[in-house]
Amino acid sequence: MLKQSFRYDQTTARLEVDGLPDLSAGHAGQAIGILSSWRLKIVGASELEGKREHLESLMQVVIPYVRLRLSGVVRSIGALNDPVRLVPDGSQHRLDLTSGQADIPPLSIHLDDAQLADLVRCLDALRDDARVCLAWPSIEHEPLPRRDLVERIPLTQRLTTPLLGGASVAALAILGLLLPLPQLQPPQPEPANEVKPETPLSGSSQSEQDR
Amino acid sequence: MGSQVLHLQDPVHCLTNCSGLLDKPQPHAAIVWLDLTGALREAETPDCLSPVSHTGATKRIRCHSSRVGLIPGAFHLGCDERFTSTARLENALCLSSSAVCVMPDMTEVIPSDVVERSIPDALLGRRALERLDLLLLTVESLDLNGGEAMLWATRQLGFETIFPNRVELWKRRCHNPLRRSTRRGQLSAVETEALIRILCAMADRLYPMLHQLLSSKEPPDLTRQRWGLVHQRLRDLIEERMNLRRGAIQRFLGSEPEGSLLRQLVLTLALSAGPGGVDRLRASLLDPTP
Repeated sequence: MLKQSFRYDQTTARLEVDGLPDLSAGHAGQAIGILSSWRLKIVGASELEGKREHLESLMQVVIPYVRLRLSGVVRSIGALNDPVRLVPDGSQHRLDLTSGQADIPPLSIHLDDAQLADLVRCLDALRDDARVCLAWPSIEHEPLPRRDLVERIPLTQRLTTPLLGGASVAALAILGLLLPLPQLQPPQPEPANEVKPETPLSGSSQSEQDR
Repeated sequence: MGSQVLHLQDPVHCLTNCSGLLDKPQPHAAIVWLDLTGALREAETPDCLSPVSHTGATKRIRCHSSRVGLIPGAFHLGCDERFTSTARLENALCLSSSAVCVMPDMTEVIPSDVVERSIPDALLGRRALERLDLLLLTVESLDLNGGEAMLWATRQLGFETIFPNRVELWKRRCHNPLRRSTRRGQLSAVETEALIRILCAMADRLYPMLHQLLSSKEPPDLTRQRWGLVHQRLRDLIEERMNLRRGAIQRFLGSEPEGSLLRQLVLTLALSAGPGGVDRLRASLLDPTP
């Protein structure tokens, strides 16, 4: 039998992949080079299955979401119409799955922190398994930009400093407006004391001319 | 031939949880021998699980790898992981009378290729150093034998040249500015990477305990006691080693047992456990300070 089946178990999650070795690529008989199906069992939820594209979508949502949570950033990953979306839901996480078939309603699975950790460990184990010779989508982990990290600070705490600063400036401005302006005194007409221009000290030169 | 101990940390919880996965869930441990490829060769299950130690196995069964799910608790740990032998059960840390967490035997860990990989150029800032040391301290609060286990992990991961003894490991951790006796300067990229990998290996080893703490399916009273125990241990370690005049330390000491800071530390350990978590944790530590 060429069909291979590998399983990755955690306490509350089990991921199973089935496939065949790609003999044209020189894979060994105990490897998977062509993924035929996968199944994900999460305790307390319906069993999930799908094609390789769906598993890749799950990886591209779950692993970046976990990366964000490591930095304390609470943000959903995935758009509304995406097949997989992970949304923070209070102290839990909601995995929204939208089927490509029109007659299947969307499915939501609530995960607690332990189930999320189990799920990402299953996916990590699959990606690191040398027996599965598939080119999974590359997921690079980079430091988050500063604007993302600012979001983890509560809005009230973020706005406290600028609001206090603005209020201080406004209070000082109002206080300044309330202060009476000094009355400008009209210029007093000066007494008509004509000051004769002093004669330049040209006595010496004039005397020289006189000479 | 490696060996693996599979067991249930909390029989009540696992009886509830594994009903969809196992045919006949029982609160028993199973000891499974694996061959070099990770395939299951044989397994034995004891009649009872002692929280401190057990060496007797009264029932021996043989099964194929496809029957792993039929062994109580076998679903808990993957067959491609190498864990402890029965003797190491003596090092189990009991958080309650009904719960026991197995400490995987570090001697069974096959040295990974971490030494061969290129070390990323990661220089940690002040906040990241504080966080990394606090995570290591959390590991010590979860595992009474954590200091020794870290040394074992250092050797098994091939970092003996970087941390030849416990003093060198302690000196690197003292770069944390919150320490009572702090050291100036920065960690080198190699030292940083080694500490991150040691932390992830330790988190992987303690993962069953982390899972218990984070799971919402656990009995609330038991969970509260566990959080209280971990919080008290971490508090004792912080009071012993950290500068108590620092505001961050005072905030932690004044926090609740299930406060957000301790929960975030435990969650960080759970999400960065194992080789898959190294890149995530490193990137997280390199985040800029907001």
